[in-house]
Amino acid sequence: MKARKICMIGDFAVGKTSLVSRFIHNAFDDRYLTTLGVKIDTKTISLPSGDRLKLVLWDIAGKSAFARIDTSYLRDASGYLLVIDGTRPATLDNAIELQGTVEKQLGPTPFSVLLNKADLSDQWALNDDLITGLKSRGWSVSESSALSGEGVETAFTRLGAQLVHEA
Amino acid sequence: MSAENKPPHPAANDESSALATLKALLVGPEQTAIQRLEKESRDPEVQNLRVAESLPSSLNRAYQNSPRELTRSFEMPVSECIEGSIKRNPGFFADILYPVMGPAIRRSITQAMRELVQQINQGLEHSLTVKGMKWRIEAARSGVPFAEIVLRHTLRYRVEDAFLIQGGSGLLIQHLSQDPAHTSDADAVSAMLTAIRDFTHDTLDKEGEDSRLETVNVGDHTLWLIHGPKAYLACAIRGVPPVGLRDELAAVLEEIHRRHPALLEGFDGDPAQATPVAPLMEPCLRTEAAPESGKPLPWPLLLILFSIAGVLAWWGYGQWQTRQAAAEHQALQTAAVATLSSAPGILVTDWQVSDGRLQLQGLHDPLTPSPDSVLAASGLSTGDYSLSFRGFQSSDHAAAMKRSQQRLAPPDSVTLELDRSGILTATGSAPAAWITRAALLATTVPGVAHYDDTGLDDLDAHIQHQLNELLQPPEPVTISVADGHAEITGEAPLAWIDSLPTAPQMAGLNSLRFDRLKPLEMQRLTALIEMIESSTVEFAVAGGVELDELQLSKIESLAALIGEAHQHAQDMQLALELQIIGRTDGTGTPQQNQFIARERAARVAQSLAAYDVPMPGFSLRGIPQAPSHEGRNDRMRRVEFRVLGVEQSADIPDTKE
Repeated sequence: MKARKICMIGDFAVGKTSLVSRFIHNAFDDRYLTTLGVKIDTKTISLPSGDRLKLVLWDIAGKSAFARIDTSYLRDASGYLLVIDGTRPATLDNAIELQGTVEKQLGPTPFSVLLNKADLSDQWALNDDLITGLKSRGWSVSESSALSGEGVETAFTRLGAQLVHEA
Repeated sequence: MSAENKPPHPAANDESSALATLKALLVGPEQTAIQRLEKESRDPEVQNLRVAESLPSSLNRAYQNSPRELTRSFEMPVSECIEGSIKRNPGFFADILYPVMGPAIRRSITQAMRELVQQINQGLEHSLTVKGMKWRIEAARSGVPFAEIVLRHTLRYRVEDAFLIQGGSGLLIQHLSQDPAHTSDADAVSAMLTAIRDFTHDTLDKEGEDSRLETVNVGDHTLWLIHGPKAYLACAIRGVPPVGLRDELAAVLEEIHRRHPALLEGFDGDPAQATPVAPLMEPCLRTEAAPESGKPLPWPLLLILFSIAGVLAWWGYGQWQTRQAAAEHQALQTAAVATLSSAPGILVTDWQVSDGRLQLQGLHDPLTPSPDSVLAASGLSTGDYSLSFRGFQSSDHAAAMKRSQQRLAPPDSVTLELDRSGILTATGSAPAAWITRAALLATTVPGVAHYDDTGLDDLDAHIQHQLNELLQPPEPVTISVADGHAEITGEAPLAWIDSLPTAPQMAGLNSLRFDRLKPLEMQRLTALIEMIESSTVEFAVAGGVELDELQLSKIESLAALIGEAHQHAQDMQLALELQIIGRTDGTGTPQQNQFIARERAARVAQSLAAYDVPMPGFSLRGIPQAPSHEGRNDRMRRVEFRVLGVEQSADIPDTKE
C-alpha cells in the first residue's frame, strides 16, 4: 500500500483540524498543533480503482494575517487541501495567496479547494462569482462541512485518486 | 589512390574535361563545402572552438540520457584531477573545505567528548567494585584499556525499533521492530518525528545546515536519529547504548544510501519499493543482554556522598578546631587578665577583646614587674594584646617594700622588713643622720603605715665604741664619729700615734682622720722652747762680760731645759738651732757695744758647753742697743735665747722689750 504526504492548508479557524478529525481517528493530541505548529494523522482510503492508499495528513496550523505559514512542513508533500471558510470571504483571498506560496515551495502539486462550513448557509458569504473565479483558475473546488461530514470523504478520496493518477 | 591523383589518359581527355565541367556544375559547391569541412576538421583550433561550443549541451544531454554512465566516465579522471590538484596546492582545497570541515570536526569532537564522559561514568561506576578489580586485572593482562573492558562488560541495551524515513516528506521507507505487534502507526510516527526534527532545527538553529536533532531521551528509552543526505535512520533504544553503536548505525545508513540512492530519492510511499532495504537494516536491531542480574551498588553516588560527607566532616572538624582554639584563646586571655589584675603594682582599669586581640588599660608601678612580663608568663605573645598603662605608686606589699628600700637607701648594716599590716621595721645599726632621715621618710612610702626603728642602733656610736676598744686612746685623746667618718683629736704620745692603723676594717666605718691629733712631746717641746726663750742672763756691770754665780746658776738651769728640748726634737725628728744673742745697754761706742754683745753671747755659750748640752748647732749673735736720749738701759745688758726650727721664726727683731 502506497502512502502520500498531504498537507492541510488554510487560514486560522477555517476548519482544517475539524475536517481531519471528521475524516480520521486522531493519532496524536491536538496540542501538537499549538506546540509544534503541525499535527500528523494517517488515513487509509480506497480509491475508485480499488487500490488502497495511505494518506499521511500534515495538519499545518493556520496563521493569522500577521504571520506566514511554516513552509518547512510542506517539504516534499504529494498534495494538499486548501481550505476556505465559506462564511469569511477574507479567507478566500488568503487562500489564493497561500496557494501561490505553496506552489512556490513545492512546484506544481495536486491540490483541491474545500469551501468549508457549508452547514452555515445563513452565514454563507461566498457568491457564485467568487467560486467561479476560483474554478476559472483550473482549481478543483468543492464544498464541505466538518460538522455534518458532507463532502469530507469525497474530497480526500478525490485528492488521493488525483495523486495516484498524477504519479 | 584517389581519382584526382591518376594521370590523364590522352584518349579520354575531352571526355574527362567535360565530366569535370559537369562535376563542377553539379557538385561544385558541395565539393567546395567538403573541402572546407575537411580543412576545418584538420584544423585543431577550429575543432577546439566547436567542441567548446557544444560541450555543455552535450554533457547535459548525456547526463539526462544516462546519468550513471556519465558519472562512471567522469569518476576516474575527476578523481585523479582532484588528487593531483590537492597534492600540488593543498591550501586551496583546505580553504574550500573549511566551512564544511569546521562543523564536522566540531561535531566529531562533541561526539568524542560524549563518548569520553560515558566511558568515565562507566569507569567510575565499576572502578571500586570487586568486579571492577577483576576487569582491571583483565585489562592489565590483555593490554586493552580499562574503560573499554568496562564497556565490553556492561552493554545493556536493545534497539527496539528502526525507522528509515525519507528526509523531506517524512514518509516511512522501511520500519523494523523487535515487536511488530505493539508498534503503533509507524507512518504517523515517522511524519511526526520528521515534523519534530524540522521544528527543533527551525527553532534552535535554522541557519546551521548540519544541525539536526540527534538524540532524544525519554525515561530509559533513547531515540537516536542518524542523518543522511536523502533519508535518516531513527532508532528507538531501551537502556544505555554503547557509544560505538551510533557509528555502526551510521554505517548502515551509509550503506543504504550507497546501494539504493534512487530508491531514497524517488520513494513515493510504496513499501514494496523498500523491500531490498530491509536486510540492510537488520543489523540495526541489536540487542545486548545485561551480563548479570541485580543492580550494582551506585558506587559513583556513594563515592560522591562519601566525598561530601568527608568534606563536611573535614569542614566541621576545622570549625570545631577553630572554635576550640578561639575558646582556649579566650580562656587564656581571661586568665591573663586575672593574673595581671592580681599582680603587685598593676591595676587593670579596663580591658576588652577586639578582633581577637586583648586591649588592656590601667596603671603600673615601675618598681614592680612590667605587664609585658606578666602576660608573657601567662602564655600570651606580644601580638595578642596591646597595652595602655600609666605610672603610679602602688601600696602593694612588694611595691612598698621596694620603694622603702629605694627611698630610705639603708646602709648594708640595716635590714628593712615590711609586714602585711604596713609596719616597716628597721634593724641593725646606722648612722644617726640616716636614722633621723629614715624616720622622717619611712611613712611617706605608700603602703607603709608605721615605722619602727627601736631595733636600730646608732652606727656612729657603735663605731666609736669599737674604735675605743681597738685603739685604747690615752686620756686627753677623743674619738668622734659622724656618718661613719671617724676623727681622732687631742694630744697623745708620739709612740701611740705612730702605732695607729691607717685604715682599720670596720663595718660602717667610711674613713678615719687623725690629722688633728698632736703628739704630746711637741707640747713639752713648745713649753721648753718658751721657757728657753724667756730666759735671760743679765749682766750687772756696764760693759762687763764676766758671769757671776747667779748667772752661772741660771745657765745651768737653762742647759737642762735645752737638753730636754733637744731630746724631744730628736724624738719628733726635728732639727733645732739655738741662737744666743748678746745685747748691750746703749752706752758706749757701737764698736765697743758690738764687741761686748758678742762677747757676752760667747761667754754664755761657753758656759752652756760646760754642761755638755747636746745641741747640734747654735749660733751667736751680738746686737748692741742703739744709743737713746733717755740714757742708759741697764736691763738690756743681757743675753737672750732663740730656738729656731720649731714654729719659730729665724728672724729676731733687733730690739725686744
